[in-house]
Amino acid sequence: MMIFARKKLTYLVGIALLVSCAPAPPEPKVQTDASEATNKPNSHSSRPANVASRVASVIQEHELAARAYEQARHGGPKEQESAAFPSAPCAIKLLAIIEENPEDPEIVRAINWILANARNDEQHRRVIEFLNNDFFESEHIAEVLPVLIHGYPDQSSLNLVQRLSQHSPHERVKAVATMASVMAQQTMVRFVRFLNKPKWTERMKSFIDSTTLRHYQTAVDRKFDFESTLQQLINQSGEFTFGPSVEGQPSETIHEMASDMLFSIQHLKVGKPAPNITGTDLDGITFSLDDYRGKIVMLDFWGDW
Amino acid sequence: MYSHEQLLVQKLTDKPFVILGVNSDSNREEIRNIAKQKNLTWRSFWNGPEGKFGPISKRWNIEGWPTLYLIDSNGIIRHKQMGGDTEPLDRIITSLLAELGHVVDLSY
Repeated sequence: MMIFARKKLTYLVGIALLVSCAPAPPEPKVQTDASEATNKPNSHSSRPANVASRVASVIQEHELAARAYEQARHGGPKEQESAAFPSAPCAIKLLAIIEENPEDPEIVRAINWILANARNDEQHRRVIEFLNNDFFESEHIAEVLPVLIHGYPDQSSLNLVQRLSQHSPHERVKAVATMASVMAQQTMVRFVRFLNKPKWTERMKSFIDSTTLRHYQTAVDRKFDFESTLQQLINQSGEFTFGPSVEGQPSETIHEMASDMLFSIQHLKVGKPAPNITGTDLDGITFSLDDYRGKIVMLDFWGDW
Repeated sequence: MYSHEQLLVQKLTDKPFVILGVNSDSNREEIRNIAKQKNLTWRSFWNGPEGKFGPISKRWNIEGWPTLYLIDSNGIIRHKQMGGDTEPLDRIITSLLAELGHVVDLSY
C-alpha cells in the first residue's frame, strides 16, 4: 500500500543498484552508469584499471554465483530473493583489494558494495574501521556516504558521518557529510515516531538491533536543530553535489536539497498555511489550490502505478 | 484508495469538501484516459512530464506515494500522512466538517 520512494534517497537507490547483487540482468541504463563509474579517469593511482577491473570481476563472480544459486533453489530467475546467498565470500575478497590499495579511488565501488550488501558480516565492521583510519582524509570518501547512511545506519556509521562533517580536510566532504547527517537524523526521527505507534512497534524493532535502537532514541531526544543546520548548508555548500546522477535525473546540488528540506520544515507542517499551487489539470485547464478556500481540501499526491 | 475516495465524494457531495489530486504520472494523455475509465471524478493538478520528479511534488517535498494532506477552510494544513490509511483521514475530515457545523458519519 505504502510506497517508500524517498525522493532524497533516489541517489541511494541508484547507487545501491550499482553495487547490488540482484540476480536479474541489470537495466541497460544502470549498466552504463556502472561502467562510467568504473572507467572514471584518475591520476592518483599507478594501477587504476587493475583495481577497477579486479573489483568488477569479484562482484560479477558473486552475481553469477548468486544467480545460479537462486535458479537452483527456485527453478527459475527470481528477482527479489538473492539476499539468501551469502555475501561474506565476496566481501572478504573486496576487503582484501581495499586494504591493499588504500590510496586508489577505484576501491570506492568495493567499499560501497560491502556497505550495501554485507551489513551483517564482519567485513562491514572492518570497512568502517578502514574508513575511519585510512580513508578519512580522502576526498573520495564523499562517494560512500550516501550508501553508508542508506536504510537504518548503525551507530558506527553515524559517528563516522558526524566526525567527517566537522573534521574532513575537504569542503565538499564536509558538506556531503553534513547533508548525510541531516538525512540520518530524519531517518531516526521517523523511526522513533513509528516505534511509538503500538501498531508498528514490533515491526520497527525487527529492523534494527537493540543497541542501534537505544542510539536512535537518545539521538532523537537530543533534538537535532534541523533549521540552522540546513540554513548553514544553504549558505555554505555552493555548487557541491550530493552524489552522482542516476536514473536519468539531473544531479541535485546540496544547496537545492537543503532549500527544499528547509521549505518543507517551515511551510509544510500541520498548523502552517498551505503553500498555493497553480497548475494545469489533466485536461490542460489552469487552476489554483487557493480557488478552493472556504472548503476542506483533501490533497492527494497520487499516481496510477 | 480510489474506492475510499469515491465513497467520500459520494457521502460528502453536499458538504464543503473537495478532493484535489496532484497526479505524478508522466504521460498526461494516458492518465486522463485512466481517470475516465476508473471514474476518478475529482480534479487533479498534473505534475508534468518528469512524473514523480515534477515541480509540484518537488516543492512539497514528497517522499512517498500516496501522500495526503488535509487543509481546512482557512487554508491551514491540519493533517499530513504518507500512505493510504483511511482511519485518520475519516476521523479528521469528520472533525473539520464539525468545526463548520456539519455533522457527518463516515463509518462504513
